[in-house]
Amino acid sequence: MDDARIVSDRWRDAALVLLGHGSTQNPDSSTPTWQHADELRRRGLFREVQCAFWKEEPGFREVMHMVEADEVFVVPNFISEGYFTRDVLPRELELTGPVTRRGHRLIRYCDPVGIHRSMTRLLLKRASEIAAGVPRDRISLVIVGHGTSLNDNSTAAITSQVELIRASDAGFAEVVDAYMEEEPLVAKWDALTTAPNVVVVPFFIADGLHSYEDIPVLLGISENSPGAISANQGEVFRRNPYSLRGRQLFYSAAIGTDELMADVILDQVAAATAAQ
Amino acid sequence: MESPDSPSSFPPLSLDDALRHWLESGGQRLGELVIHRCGEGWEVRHHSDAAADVSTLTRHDRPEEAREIARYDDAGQYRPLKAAPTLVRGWRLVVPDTATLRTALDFFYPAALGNWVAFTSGRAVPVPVKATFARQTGMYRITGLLDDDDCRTVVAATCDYATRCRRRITWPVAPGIPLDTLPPEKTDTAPPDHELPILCLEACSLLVAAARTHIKKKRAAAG
Repeated sequence: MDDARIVSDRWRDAALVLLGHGSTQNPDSSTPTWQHADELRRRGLFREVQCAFWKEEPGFREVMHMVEADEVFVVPNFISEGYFTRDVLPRELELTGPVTRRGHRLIRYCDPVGIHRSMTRLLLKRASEIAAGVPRDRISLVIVGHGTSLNDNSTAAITSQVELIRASDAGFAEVVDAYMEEEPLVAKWDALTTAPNVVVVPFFIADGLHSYEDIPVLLGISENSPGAISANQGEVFRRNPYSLRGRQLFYSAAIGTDELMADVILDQVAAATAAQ
Repeated sequence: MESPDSPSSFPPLSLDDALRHWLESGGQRLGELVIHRCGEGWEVRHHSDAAADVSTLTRHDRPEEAREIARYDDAGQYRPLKAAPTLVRGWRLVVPDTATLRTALDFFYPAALGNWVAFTSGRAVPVPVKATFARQTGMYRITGLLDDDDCRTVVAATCDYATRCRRRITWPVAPGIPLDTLPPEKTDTAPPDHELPILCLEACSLLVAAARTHIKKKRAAAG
């Protein structure tokens, strides 16, 4: 029996719990987390798969009442390590570290999805899909984050991905990071890049105000229209490419909406399984 | 929250078994839902559609569709709180077995079954609302400043059973200080046998956010 088989046999008796932020305002905030859970439930790898949210139901404090397995893998569907993954989630779930024993239950707290190296695979796939047929050596790839300390280590997560892709044989003309609220600013995307085609991928867990509206306004592909979020959801991603400032601009939905995120979740569970 | 020593003293009930037992003993109401056995398994509807002709209802077969049904109210407004009494009508969900039914019910009323089983078996310990507030950090740390009357005021406004939330509160203001100003249906954890109560074992994030707004206004008014 190979290692992968041994691992998946263990998972079959375990529960997987995905933790998301959720929102009381944006109905799309929790959608990717639910969809990844649906996909993993369909695959039948775990005895049970549940989600819980900070701002939606079920809440972090009640999700353990929804699972029955003795071993529970808890995966934060968050883009980076920081306030939520280090303070809020352990506090709310009463976790004491990577492994928490409570009665006969073992809870394994995994790293957040966004910091796994396999996020690189998603970024490359997303770039290929969105600018299909465009040679990579004629593409500048821009990975966009929020910036500022409000978003914890999201900047570090993004610069790490930029370095990994630069060091790979992906073959992009260039790979750069950019931010909404700090330098290098995404609003200066044309000055940050040189290739004739520019692919912009928001490094966020879900689509929402930032990806629907704020970043498009900063890029110059959308008018500033506060409150229009519910009226034009997703429309901005369907008008590619944009001819702007002498370039072809391709704008992607948030990376966390990619269906391959389900595999990144499994990668984090595998890492936690191997770490014991 | 879970009682730390409970798993050894109370072997966990199977959630599927608990649901099956409740259905077999005549259970049919959960929140605004009514559940009936049908030829193909189990059928779920809005209770106000209980007598509606099937031809007038849109049929759904996948449990995940429950999530979509519960997502927006009749006016198209997003429903972040699934226990709000605003579930839309005009649909029926047909599932083949109790395991699939359990999945669907968890999308309509997340954790309702698990909370009920944990509470009735003694495995869940309701958390006083002041303890929830005292635990907060960051922008919600200020909720630790609410006094007992503030808590009663915020709960009455945010959690109203008739208009805001169909969860039934199990927790006190603080140990020995009950929430005694609420109407009985808000705190009755044992409704008639055919109804599975949606229990609130601890203040939710909506209440924490409302508490923050309350205390900030109060402090601003006090200068």
